[in-house]
Amino acid sequence: MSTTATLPRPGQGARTRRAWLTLTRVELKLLLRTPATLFWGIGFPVIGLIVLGAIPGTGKPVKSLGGISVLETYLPIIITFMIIITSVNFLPATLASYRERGVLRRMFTTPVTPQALLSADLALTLGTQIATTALIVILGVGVFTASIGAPLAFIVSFLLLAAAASTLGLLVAAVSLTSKAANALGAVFFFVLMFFSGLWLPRAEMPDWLRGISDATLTGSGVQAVQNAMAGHWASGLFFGVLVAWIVVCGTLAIRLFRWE
Amino acid sequence: MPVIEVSGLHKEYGPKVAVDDVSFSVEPGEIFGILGPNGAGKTTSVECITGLRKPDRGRISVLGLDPQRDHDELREQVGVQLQDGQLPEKIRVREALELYASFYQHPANADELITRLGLDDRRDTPFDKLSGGQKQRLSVALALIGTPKVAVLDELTTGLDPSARREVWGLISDIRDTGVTVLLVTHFMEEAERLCDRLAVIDHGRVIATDTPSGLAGRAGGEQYIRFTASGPLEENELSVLSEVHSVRREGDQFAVTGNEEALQAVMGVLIRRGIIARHLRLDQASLDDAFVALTQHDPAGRDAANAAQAN
Repeated sequence: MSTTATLPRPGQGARTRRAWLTLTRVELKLLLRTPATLFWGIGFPVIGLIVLGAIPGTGKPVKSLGGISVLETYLPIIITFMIIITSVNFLPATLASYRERGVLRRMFTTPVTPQALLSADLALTLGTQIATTALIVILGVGVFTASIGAPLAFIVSFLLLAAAASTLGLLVAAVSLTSKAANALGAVFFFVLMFFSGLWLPRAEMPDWLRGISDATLTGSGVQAVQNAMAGHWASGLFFGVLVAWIVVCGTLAIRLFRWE
Repeated sequence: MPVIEVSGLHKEYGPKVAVDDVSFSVEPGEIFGILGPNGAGKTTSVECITGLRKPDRGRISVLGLDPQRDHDELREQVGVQLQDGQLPEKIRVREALELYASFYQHPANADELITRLGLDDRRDTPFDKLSGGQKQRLSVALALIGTPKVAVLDELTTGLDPSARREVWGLISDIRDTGVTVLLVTHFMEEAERLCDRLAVIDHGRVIATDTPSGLAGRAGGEQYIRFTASGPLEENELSVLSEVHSVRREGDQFAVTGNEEALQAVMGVLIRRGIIARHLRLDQASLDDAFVALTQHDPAGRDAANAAQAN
């Protein structure tokens, strides 16, 4: 009995994969049963883009915005909005409620560890973000007049922004003892990060000192990197450095501070 | 060989000693109860046995495995139902079972289990729409989905109404009949009395007795309580002189007598000689309840805890 315990069992990898796929499938079903997540994570950003694109004149270059159009200014902000709300608001709320309800603790008593549930939820969040972003890009470029000059830079910038937001989401989940606390903390981060992304005051119109602060936030850097990619060139390495720093710092703290119960 | 062996288990949380010194062993195929007032250290003991917590001292062996070292193998063989182990609100019964089935090497058939636990008409019901009894039955189903050799069930019927409680009790007897060893944690005397083959009474982090339910009840002195209404005049001292009788209380023509196992015979003998008929005769044995109170009332704290447990 004790010898089989120390030897890896045949087919264990396949079983772990099967468990993970089942977990992801069930979590996806649960996501589809949460209308608020679907609306704010997919519906609202897409509708927002359609409304913005339908307003006459939003496709014309504007001097005060650095020569790009209102649509091209807001497209990265809309993507950022969707990334922040799914990563920093919905993801930690789900994880904190799982911890609060003992869902994670319950999984500890099975051969599958709660890490599998965490990674399934992360994968689903990223999947939602990729799908919604694809929809936004198809609409923005195909139907309206936005253009993406450097697609590879766009993809790298988007993925770094999404990863930075998700690790911040994990950190929020880690430090929030209850789902109430997760919601409150997530809401604070949402408004601060959306402000610095330029939702209310586009970054190009911010005074220098304010844009300096914005540069240091993950949404400020992320929006700048995505905007530059749309304009056809890679953003300065500084912006990518800021995003990577957010990932490293939040990721390290989240792993250190995360509690299963 | 015992299925579960615990010896000298000790666990502290900071300055608080949750489990002081707990030892017991569970034989294959039995329902073994851990009985004790709230805060006695039952749940902590179970958490150490299932590998959720690392004990500070002591030895635990489950199916010959060490819960800490052989963590993976143990999880395949031991099904656990936690006191507050919940599920996501919107997960459906059938989905939860399929999900948990995917975690195990040799899962049971989810549909068969649903039928066995009487959840057939609830298979598409979300978790938060289930009644308390249905939630507990699902919880038991999840503990059994991996075809475990041992099932650990913690405070299974707390918060259930009496009929739901009876349903769940029936289920636990069925589980034992399929050859699964059951470790049942409870603070209900009635539950322990009905289900358990043997039980350990834990108080203040220590095992204060391990015995069969009737064996424990016997430790309360094997007292009998006799109540009756006498059909004719009878004096208290006519009964209290009997050596088998310990006390007599009389209110009008109603008598309440306590005594040893032969007290009933002796009292009836007196009544027959006097030509008196005992109407509304009631005979009660000392119950596990009495034993529990007797065992835990060695100090005021224990007594309070016992009263709290009974009030539940």
